Amino acid sequence: MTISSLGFTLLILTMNLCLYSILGSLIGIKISSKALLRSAKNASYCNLITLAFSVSCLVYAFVTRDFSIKYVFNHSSLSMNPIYTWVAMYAGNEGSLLYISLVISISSFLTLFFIPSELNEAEPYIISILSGFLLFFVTVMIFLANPFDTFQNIPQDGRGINPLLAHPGMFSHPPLLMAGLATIVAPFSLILGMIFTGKFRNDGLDYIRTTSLIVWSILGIGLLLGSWWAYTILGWGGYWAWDPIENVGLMPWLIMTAFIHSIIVQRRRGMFRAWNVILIFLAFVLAQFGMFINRGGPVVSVHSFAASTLGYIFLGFMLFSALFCLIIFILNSHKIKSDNNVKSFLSRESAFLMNNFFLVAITFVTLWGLIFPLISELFANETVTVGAPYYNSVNGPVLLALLFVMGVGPNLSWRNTSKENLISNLLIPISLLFISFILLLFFSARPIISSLSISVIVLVLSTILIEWIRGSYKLTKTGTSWYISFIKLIINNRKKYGGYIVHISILLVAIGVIGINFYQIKVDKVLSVGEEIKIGNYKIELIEINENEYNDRREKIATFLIKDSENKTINTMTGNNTFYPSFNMASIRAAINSNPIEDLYIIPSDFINESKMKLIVSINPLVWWMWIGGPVFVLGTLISLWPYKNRKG
Amino acid sequence: MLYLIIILILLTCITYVTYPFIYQSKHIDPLLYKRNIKIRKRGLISELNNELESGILSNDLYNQLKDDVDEMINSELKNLNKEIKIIDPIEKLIQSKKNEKNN
Repeated sequence: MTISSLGFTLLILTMNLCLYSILGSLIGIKISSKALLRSAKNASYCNLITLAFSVSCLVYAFVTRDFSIKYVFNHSSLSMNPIYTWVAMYAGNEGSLLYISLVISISSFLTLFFIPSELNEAEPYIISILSGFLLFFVTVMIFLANPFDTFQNIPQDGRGINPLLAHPGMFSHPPLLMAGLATIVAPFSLILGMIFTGKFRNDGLDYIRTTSLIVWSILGIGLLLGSWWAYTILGWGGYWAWDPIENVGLMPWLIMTAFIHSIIVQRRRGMFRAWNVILIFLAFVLAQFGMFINRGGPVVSVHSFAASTLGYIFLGFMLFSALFCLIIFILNSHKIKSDNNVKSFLSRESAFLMNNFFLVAITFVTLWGLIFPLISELFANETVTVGAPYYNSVNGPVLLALLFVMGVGPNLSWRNTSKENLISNLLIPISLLFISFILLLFFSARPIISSLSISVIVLVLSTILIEWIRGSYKLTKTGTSWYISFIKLIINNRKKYGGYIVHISILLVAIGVIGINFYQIKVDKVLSVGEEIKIGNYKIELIEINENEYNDRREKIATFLIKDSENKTINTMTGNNTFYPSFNMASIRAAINSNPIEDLYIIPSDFINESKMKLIVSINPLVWWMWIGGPVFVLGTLISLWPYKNRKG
Repeated sequence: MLYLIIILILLTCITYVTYPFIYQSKHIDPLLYKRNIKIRKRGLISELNNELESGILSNDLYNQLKDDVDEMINSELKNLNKEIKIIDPIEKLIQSKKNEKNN
């Protein structure tokens, strides 16, 4: 037996375990056999063992550079840096499907292992949904995209890893993004399971919220890391290009954002039950749409690494999922009605509804931009490209409105807000909004929209800070210090204030977006060695150009000396442009000098000769804060997820 | 070696999948759902208490929201009682008397 046959045998075993798990749980419900239900659950757990070993087989094949396996040949070479072995594992279609299957099995295991007793009745359905989803991926691998497929004649060396993937960000960005899209099945299965029992009420909502938050944060971090990777390696000069692959990751995240807000309303007030079902169904279908676009969908993307000819299979699965969700919703809509309705426009419930409306609007604007070229080609036989200007001009104002709701919403009370309360809560934040807006209008020569955006950020931030100061002040009356009171306030209300910390992280990202979109300075210039260029307060001198030839690539490195306006040396920076002949692909790494105020960003776009090159130099203000938003996002999510111990018992 | 690995994985899976048929699990307490709803109520009330203590909620709003939680949870308990059909002995007696009369 070879390592490839072991890996493939384990895939077949997984397929059988999935089938057993589905049939066992469905028959177990029919004949009321607890032993069979338990056995089906155990079979679902076993998938984790078989897939973990199957993935290990592939990783082992990469480590030993076993080029008898086609996938290893296509995604590694003898000269490949061994640290990229893990990245090579999911660098192509077959390996990424195997990785996704492992992630689904892990999320199934965790979902079922920690399932609360409130969801006992729904558990068999949840098992069958999770196993059914995994079965799809395993079946595709076995019959159409086998990662263990072998050559008759073993090649001496492989093609090597895709050069764009040889970056530290690749250790986390693709796996997190794939994991985020794949694990949406966990909250989806929980809600679907409850619907199948005919009892989608308020039981188990804490658990659904927890799983959704985990999935949402994985996807969110994946997207942010993707932006960081695009900013540092792709040489676009930006962090987000509204590329189809980015968009298909963003859309489910937006819907999940709406869902984790809307589920709070169901939990607290018994409302939005049907709406929550629609949101989670939509998130799941959009995640499948993402898989379709990523794996050979008809939309062209600059960074779809798992492209294959399997697009139609994933399109079929997506359409099946959409139809299935629609039928389930229509058949069960009478069972999922809410207990209450929104009683006042000036209420927290109403603010959550507005938040959901804006998030869904951004999703559909993005979806329309993504599918419009296809529609136009299909009906008008005309290829239309929808670029960043469309997304920015349509989504920009909606995002601003969303930020505004983020600032006003927490000042509204559940049920209804009296005029007195509204005025007392909003007086300071709204005053700050106006003051900052007027100041910016007078002192900044930028468009009004930039001043408005910053003012809205002031509104959101002041709302959060005022609530924290007010709460901490009240707690100091018990004799504790401000510091202890603040910590106590956060710990006692961690679900809510963890969420506020996440809001702060969103503000940090927004600050970066505003900085780069409205305050960027950009210059294109051809520079010879010894010459210098002035931009802002910087003087950039091109010191030297070096060329290195390797087995798999030609690397051109430019070194720059950075001085301030008083000719004091700040730093020496290098940027490179590397060409990979076997992939016919160039990879540009920008030279970046980053600080909290601004980034000096140099793209070595073209090397004309040994002493002359073309540069794109920009000063990107406040981008540093965008990357700080990542750890703050994680911190807020962790605080929000931290369980309450003392409530049980 | 690889054969040994596949045999070990196979044996583990078979043992784990067949285990529930050999050792039956414990009976699930039908009152568990009721207890869970009460735990959830405690959680919601505790959140309201924290918000009151921190000055996020006024006393009036706190009372209103607490009443809403009571109403929501009571309605869920009512529905649950209908489903699990827990009839106390006195109610059972009344029911049987009614049936006798009807007959």
